[in-house]
Amino acid sequence: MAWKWILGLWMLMVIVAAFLYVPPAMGLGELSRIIFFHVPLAWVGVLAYLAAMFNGARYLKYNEARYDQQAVFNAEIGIVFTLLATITGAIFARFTWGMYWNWDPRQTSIFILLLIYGAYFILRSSVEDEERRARLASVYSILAFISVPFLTFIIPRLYATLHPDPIINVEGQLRMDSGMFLVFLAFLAGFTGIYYWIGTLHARLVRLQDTKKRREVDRDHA
Amino acid sequence: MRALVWKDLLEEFRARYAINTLLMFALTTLVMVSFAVGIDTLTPKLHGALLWIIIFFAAMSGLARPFVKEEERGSAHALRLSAAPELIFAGKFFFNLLLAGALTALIWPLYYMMMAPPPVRPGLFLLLLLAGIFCLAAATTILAAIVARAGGENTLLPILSFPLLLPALVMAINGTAAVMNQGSWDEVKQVLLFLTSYGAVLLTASLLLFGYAWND
Amino acid sequence: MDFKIKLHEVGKNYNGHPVFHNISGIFGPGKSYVVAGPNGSGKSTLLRIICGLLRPSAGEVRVEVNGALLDQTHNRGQFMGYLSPYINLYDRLTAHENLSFFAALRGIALKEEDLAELLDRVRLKPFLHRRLGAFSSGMQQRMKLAYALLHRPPVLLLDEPSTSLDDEGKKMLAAVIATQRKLGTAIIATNEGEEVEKYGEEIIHLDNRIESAGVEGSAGRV
Repeated sequence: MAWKWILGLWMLMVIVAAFLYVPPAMGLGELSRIIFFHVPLAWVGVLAYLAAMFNGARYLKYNEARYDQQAVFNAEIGIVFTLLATITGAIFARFTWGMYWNWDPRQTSIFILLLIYGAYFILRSSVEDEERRARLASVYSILAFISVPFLTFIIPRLYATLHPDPIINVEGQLRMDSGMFLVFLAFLAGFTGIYYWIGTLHARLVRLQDTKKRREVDRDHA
Repeated sequence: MRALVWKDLLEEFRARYAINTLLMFALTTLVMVSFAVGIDTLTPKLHGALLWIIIFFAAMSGLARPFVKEEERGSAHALRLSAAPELIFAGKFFFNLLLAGALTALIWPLYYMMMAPPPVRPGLFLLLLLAGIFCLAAATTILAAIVARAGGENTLLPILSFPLLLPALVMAINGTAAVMNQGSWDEVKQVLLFLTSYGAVLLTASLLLFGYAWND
Repeated sequence: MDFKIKLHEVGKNYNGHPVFHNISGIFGPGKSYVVAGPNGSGKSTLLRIICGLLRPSAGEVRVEVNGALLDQTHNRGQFMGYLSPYINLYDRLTAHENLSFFAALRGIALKEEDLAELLDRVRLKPFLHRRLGAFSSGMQQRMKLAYALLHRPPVLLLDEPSTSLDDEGKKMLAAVIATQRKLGTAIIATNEGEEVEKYGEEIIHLDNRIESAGVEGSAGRV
């Protein structure tokens, strides 16, 4: 249990660092601080999607309900993080380029991720049978993700983007000073830790629900 | 597989499950757009966007029908027991390709008459339309099967398709604008390459996944 | 042809509600079997699981033909003919078109004489070129039987086969089942006492009773 306290302390420290220690950078002024939140949020959004997709594939292979449960809760976490990433991104866009939304390719790709998450849950809610729901949702989660690399990597190469280069850009150069970069990495680790923590909470919840169901069934039999 | 396409065509010819919906939807949106725009001159980019939006939504209104009908009627099980899923997929894909082709073949002349877009080089434009339709059919075939197995709700297909088709739509719109701007071959070639490779990726993934969506 | 269909502790749940559980047994050539039980006891479900249209929630079904295992739905479909209220053919196509379509799909070269003979077996020969939409329900049922017999399957699964059939139709059905017993196996799901007696060389009761050797059923609450 100690790691949760460490995680809490860690997040506290990096948040303080983000506002007090790191100087405003990249010619963006105080606003640059939002990237400490924005990028890790998007990162967890994508990570959770990959986890959902991976569990979907495992479900198709092994046909066990627990993989589908894992896929769903990853998608549930993912949609929240992606939504927050979209909002922080829009705020950043408003104050740098003057508009909340301007269909920059990177904005588009995070928005598409959000749509995929939405479609995934709508699909789930429209299937009656549990096993079929799990299969169709798993297939869709794999299929839908195909568009993401095309939107994120290929279309932006063909057309201009307003978005600051990815932190470590194509030439492998760092655009941040080392202190800022350190805090940034710390944030990335912190958010990933939070994601993991929510994951363990959810696993516990599923276990408890299973036990409860089993007890009810036993009582019915008795 | 030829048998499946032929059967679908015969059935479609006699019952018109899909084509009527497709055409009515296309016509309605086209008239609406034309009415709203009036006699204003649009930029090539806007023409591209309107044309592909009309094609996309018209396609969404009808392309799930063949699969939904099979499930509703109960003939899907008969298909399942008779042939490998890949074969069924291939047959339905070609049928969707034909439907989407017929739809576009009808939309474009009407669009041309009502909206007066700038002149285009016919060969180049035809290639672009074909590449776009290829992506459309590639994405919607497996999604239509998913929609049919999920209960066949009409609204589900556009919701599932949009994220998957967005890259194709963006590129098709840009390509159309380029053709209308009398753009260079290189510019259009890039779009054509993108669309065909994207469609090929969709098709491959669909073939691999179709069995899982098709069987319980 | 040597074949065996082995059911090993097969069970099925729909969204957590048990239909039946723990069905075991072996089906072999040269016999006719009856699956009996009240409405909702899972007769249709069991047949669907045998032909691979449905996955069992527990246990497994092994279909072994000359030593090879058939695990895919369409492979089993080549080997079994299935008549069921859940399967329908194409109303807009004629009897001839329907059967030649399924023959083409299965890759069978079907001659006109074969087709005529098949329709003669189910007494539909005069209606060769009539659309199924214009068929009465009894004729539809005969047509479904023709579909099930089309590829001369060693195993015939019949779910409530005498539904809508007149006396003459029931005689025709009895003849088909008698022939099938010589060619291989017929498995019939039915509720009618007369049919259970007539065809049930071995009987699986889906309501806790076990009768006759070879096949054991124990089962489920509904």
